[in-house]
Amino acid sequence: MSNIPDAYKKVPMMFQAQTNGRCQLQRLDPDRKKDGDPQDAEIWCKQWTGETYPVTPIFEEPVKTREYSISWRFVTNSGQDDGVIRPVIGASGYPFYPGSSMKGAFRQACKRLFSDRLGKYCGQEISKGDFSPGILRFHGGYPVDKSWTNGLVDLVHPQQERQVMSSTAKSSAFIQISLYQPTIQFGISASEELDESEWEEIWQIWETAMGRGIGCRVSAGYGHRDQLKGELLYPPHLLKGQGMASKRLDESGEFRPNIFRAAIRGHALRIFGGLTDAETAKREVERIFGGVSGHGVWGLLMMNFVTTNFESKLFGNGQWEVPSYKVEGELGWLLSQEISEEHKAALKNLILHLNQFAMIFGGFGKSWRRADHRLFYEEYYEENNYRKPLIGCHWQWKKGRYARDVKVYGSKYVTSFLDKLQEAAKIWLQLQNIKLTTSYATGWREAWHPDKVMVWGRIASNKESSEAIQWLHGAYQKRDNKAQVPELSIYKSSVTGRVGQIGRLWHRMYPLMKLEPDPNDSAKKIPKPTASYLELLTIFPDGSDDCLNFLKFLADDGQFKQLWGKPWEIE
Amino acid sequence: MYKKAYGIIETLAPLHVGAAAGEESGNLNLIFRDQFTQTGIIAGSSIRGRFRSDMRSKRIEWLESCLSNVSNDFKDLYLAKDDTSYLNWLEEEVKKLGQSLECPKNLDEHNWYGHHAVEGRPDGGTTEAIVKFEYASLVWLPVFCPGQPVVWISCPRLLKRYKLITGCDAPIPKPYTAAKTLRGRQISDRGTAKQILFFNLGFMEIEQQIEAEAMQKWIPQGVDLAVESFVVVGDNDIAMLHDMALYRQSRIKMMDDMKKVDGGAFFNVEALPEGSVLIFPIALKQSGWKPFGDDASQDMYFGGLESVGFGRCHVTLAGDYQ
Repeated sequence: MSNIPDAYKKVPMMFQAQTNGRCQLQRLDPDRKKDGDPQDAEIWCKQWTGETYPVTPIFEEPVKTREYSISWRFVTNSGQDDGVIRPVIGASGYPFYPGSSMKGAFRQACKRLFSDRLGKYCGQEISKGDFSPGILRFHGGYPVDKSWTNGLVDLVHPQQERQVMSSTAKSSAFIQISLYQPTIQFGISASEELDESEWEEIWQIWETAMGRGIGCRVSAGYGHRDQLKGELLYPPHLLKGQGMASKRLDESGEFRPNIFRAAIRGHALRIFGGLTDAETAKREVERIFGGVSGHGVWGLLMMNFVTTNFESKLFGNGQWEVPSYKVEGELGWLLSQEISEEHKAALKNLILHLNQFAMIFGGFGKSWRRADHRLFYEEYYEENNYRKPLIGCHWQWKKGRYARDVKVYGSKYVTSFLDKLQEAAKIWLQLQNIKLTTSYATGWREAWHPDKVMVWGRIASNKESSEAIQWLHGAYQKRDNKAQVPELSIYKSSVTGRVGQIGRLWHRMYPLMKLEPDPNDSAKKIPKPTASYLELLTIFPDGSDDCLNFLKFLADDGQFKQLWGKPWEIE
Repeated sequence: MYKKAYGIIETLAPLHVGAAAGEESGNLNLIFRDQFTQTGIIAGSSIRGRFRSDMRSKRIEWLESCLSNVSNDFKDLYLAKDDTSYLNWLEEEVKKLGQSLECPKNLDEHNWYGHHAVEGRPDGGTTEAIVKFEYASLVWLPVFCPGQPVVWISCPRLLKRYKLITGCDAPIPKPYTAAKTLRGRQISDRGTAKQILFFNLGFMEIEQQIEAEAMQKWIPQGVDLAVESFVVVGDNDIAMLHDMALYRQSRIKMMDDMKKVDGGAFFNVEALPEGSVLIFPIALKQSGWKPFGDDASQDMYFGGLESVGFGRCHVTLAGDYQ
């Protein structure tokens, strides 16, 4: 054996123990991040990808192949390391989608689509314990080019508890290794000659299988194709939005479509938390979206977001520079399993309302509780030469399904929308045999109950005329010594929050549509965009003086009207 | 007396030849290993079985061609009966037509690989095979280790068998030999210029370097491998390095209607990785054996888990077989 100085430090990370001081793939070390040192996962990936075999594995005749691109991230858990998800690594160091996974997914799709061909394609039991093989062989998949080596380190940052349930809950980021937008070549061969038409059918089954996502974490948007196909619950929502992109470890930006699911899942928890006790609410949310309780809960719904247009750029100057994006796309929900028609209808109605709720009252991704300051408070950046943090995000519906999605055309629509949302949630919960009582998740910071939350609204005639955005940065009431009026502000209070503390107020500028008669059909009305906005303040009062003073001010000021929640009374 | 030939197998996908899944009590499906080097093998019986089965398919095609003069829809006729195998049914139908079941010799698996046992005949009706197979052993095995290029390893003992089978005249390289062109792991702060590789045993220095042409002699016929990737390691080390190189996969049984593990159904499988090169000897009592027609090579499947892509191999025949 050779004499190598500090040999133990040069052992590849893949062969080091998953323990502190050796290799901890899943751990994000904040000190290293501060010092700009690479994390273990980054070193691991660099070692992995550095010397893989120069030739991409390909399938040759008689294996039939097709290539499919993945809309966002893709991972098949190799199960080789404890506590961290990382891909299966095949020969020559290439990430590999195993044939066994492919066969499993194909089998389930084949059973749904052409159950009579299942035995022929995938094999079957012919007598007790005796099996006949199927004619197909599933060779798995490899990425088609070297681009898979980019963006492997995937940061996962669970926030549900901190955002919905408890202000003091800690949250930390974890690392996972997944492929970023790979194009994968899949191979299938048959033990006998098949007609072209039969191959078409086989690929159709495979595409159906891919329609539900492949690999793991599919319910969170991993492993979906770059186009929506197959069994959507209803036609997708067409959205466009802008905001601050998530940062990778190397500080580059990444638009992560799982922001939609995270937001909507969080809202489901708020709504359920206002209707039933905390434990039931959590359990019922897991039933819909999946979770890790007990032996794991397979969620009824899977999300898929397909980007149709994307721009990314940096925003801000100097230390304030952050990656930001503009995106347009189609947000779809798929049912992952068979449920009764009654349940399906109720779930469809519920998720539809939850999507609308997310759009009406907030946004998606970072800073979703704030209206986009670039649009509604331009002077904030201009005055400081863009030396300010990017605050807020802005989302709106894209033309196409206005009639279904917009729902709120003015202040008065808010109340009835929220009533309908609660009704949809109640119907779903009752179908799950849950008795609705008056006890709800009172301990949560954001349970959606009239005693816990207030919605105030006004019409802003254009994007410059937001009232509330100023209050987030200075006094809403100026000091007047003569009239003995003190200065009052919610800036940096518990109401608005500060760094490390989530506020209790959501500010949203919802683009207003108006309903105009349809020239082709006088009985119908069609939504048309306007220049004005519905300015909404959603407040979860915490009983502090800052909060009470502010609510009093809102009521006295008279511009905002309370639209939901227990009516505010000045004591 | 015997004509000597051999076959070279290059795996195009992971190769698992071992006990059938479910027959083992544990949850790790191991591959068969040879008892001396503990490296993966393909049993001679598995090789013969595959050749026999492929030739049987050709005989079935021949039987079908006998019937196609009579009827085009005989497959439908067969489907109506499910108490007999397709082959038996075809034979019965051909007999009914008064035709002989004797097919051209080069399509008759009983002729080349021995007749299977038949009830009521003396000695079970078995015959001696014309073609005899021995087990396939590894010649080169690829190892991927992060931070260094993929290398193909072998050891003196495996190369000795290769030499015996092929009649290669090169001297067997000593342990820790590579071609001068080998590119190892880059470690800058070291005194010596010798190439270093990392395996799960630790860091390994290449002790002997030979000319690329000398290493070239150990590349089997029909195999496309580059000499700068070859490393010969010690007989004592090959077992452990082999275990590092194996393809391993955890497999689960999914619920039929749900993307969720069915109970605790979970097992592991190991396989020789794709790019492995094996050799097996063939002895023939007579010439004229043309399992691949006029070609010397063909794709074949060996071992289990064929339906999930395992066992696809490229087989090249060499020596005195035709």
